[in-house]
Amino acid sequence: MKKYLNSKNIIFLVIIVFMALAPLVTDPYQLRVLISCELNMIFAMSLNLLMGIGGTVSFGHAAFYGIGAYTTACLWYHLGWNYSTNFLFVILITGLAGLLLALPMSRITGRYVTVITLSFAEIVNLIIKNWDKVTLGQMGIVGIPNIDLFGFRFHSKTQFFYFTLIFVILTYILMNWLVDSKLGRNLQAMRDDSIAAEAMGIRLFPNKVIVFTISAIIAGIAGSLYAHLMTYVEPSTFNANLSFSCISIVVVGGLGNFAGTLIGSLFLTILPEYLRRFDFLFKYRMIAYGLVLVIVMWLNHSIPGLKLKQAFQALFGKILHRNRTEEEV
Amino acid sequence: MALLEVKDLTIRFGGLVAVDDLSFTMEEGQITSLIGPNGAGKTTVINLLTGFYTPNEGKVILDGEDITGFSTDQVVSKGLSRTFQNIRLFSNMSVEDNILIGMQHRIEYGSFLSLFPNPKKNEWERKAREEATAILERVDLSDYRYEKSTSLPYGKQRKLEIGRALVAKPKILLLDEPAAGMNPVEKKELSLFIRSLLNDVRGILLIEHDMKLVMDISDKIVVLNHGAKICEGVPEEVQNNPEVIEAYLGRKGVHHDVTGE
Repeated sequence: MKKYLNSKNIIFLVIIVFMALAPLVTDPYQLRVLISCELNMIFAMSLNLLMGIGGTVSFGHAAFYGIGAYTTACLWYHLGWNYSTNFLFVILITGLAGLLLALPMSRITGRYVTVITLSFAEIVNLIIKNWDKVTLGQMGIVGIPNIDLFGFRFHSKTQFFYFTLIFVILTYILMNWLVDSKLGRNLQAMRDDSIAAEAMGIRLFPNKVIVFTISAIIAGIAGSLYAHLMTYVEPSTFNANLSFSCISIVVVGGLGNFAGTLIGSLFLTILPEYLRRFDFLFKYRMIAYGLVLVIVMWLNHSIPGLKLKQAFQALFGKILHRNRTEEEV
Repeated sequence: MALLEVKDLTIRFGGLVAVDDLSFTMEEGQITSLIGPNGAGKTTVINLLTGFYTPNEGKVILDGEDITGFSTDQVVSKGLSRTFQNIRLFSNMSVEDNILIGMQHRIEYGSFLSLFPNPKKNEWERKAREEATAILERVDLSDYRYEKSTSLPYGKQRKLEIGRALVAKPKILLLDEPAAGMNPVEKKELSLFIRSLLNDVRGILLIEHDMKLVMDISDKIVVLNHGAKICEGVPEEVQNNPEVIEAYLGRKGVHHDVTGE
């Protein structure tokens, strides 16, 4: 039991408790923002698995989010299926998409991965835009009903909120199980030194395929929830911007740090919404993303409490002793 | 029967013959050293043995089994385990996790069972951690168990790397310049340690530039120059071989440092 009482899990518990109590005091608008937070949490955790544990930066993660959203939307629109059946297909199709993207990874590394993932997202976006018969193209699919689970239809956003919260919890727990296992260790070894990992007998390619698939499935689940939250899907939502803001969340929260990702999601979802009220002064509130990212990069550490001490040291250490680090090197 | 038999091993990179028709054997319970001037092809030989490169010609026979052209993961499970010339630890992982990676091919639950707790996973994790404890004790790193691997001092990082190779339960341990960058006291300690490793593995293949260390602990030395074997034998024979002296020192009048890196 003691094993689980580390700072990260405590932060996770605190966040979950606060989130669970939040609907008691929020107005509908705030609740909606919090649901976006939850979706971003799931989405960003899936990317953190790929980036922080797997060591592969995906610049096209929005593709899986989009595929997840469109899978459930199309199944509802064309076949009238409800969420409980759609869910299985979301897993299946996003899993296959992840597998497909992982295939070139047997041969490429580094910056080529960036190009491939970015292009993949663009291709998915183009398919969504132009496959009129299935996705209705630019028009998007409108009127997606609230989630229907085995005949039980959610009728309020509060129910939706708690349903999504369960997914946040499950994702977090799954990530921790995964990291603390043979698969998780092998992935981290590959991230740190792929040659040494190979010398220890780790087969790089199968592990890459697995991590891409799992990551894609989780991102797809977040996307499918998104479709039911917004009640409509349109292609322009799932563009590169979404991928980049997801990367921002992961970087702010700390690579490989899932509790940090939760904080990062809260921070980077609520902050731009909060800044909305200053729109009359300053229209470019989305600049907040970039600004936060630059600060974090500068600190070279994650923001959240987990590494706050080091972050402050880095911040003030740099201001006070600007030349010290150079001397140390 | 020899523990490891290398027969006519050759690899070419374009026009360069990096290893040229190399044959040697390793005997049970011995330390065999591979020496030679810089660029002689020593590390290439290790890369060939461990499956990083596939030889153009020749055979590698480990304990009676032909392992030529096996992939790295197959080679590891057949019982060859290596360390690196420039230490390659998993830098963001703890000392314990580094050791656990070393034994990952013996942990018999797959990726799917990794995703959730189940009896098989729990059982193997418990066993693995027990074994890691034993190995950490063996390489004298028990106090550093949960520290980040790269926070260790240099000598201990070397030992961790050896521990990581050891936990794979190899038949043969391949050590690529383990004494590089060590001071004389550390080297002395290391040579005793390497000798003691023969209790854990059946043979050690050592690549080293430090002649004193090599002469002290080797049972047999193979000398390479330009990828080809120029001499093989016990330390005394090798020391007095004119070809070896020429390879290291050059002909009369040309100066090179024997131990120079």
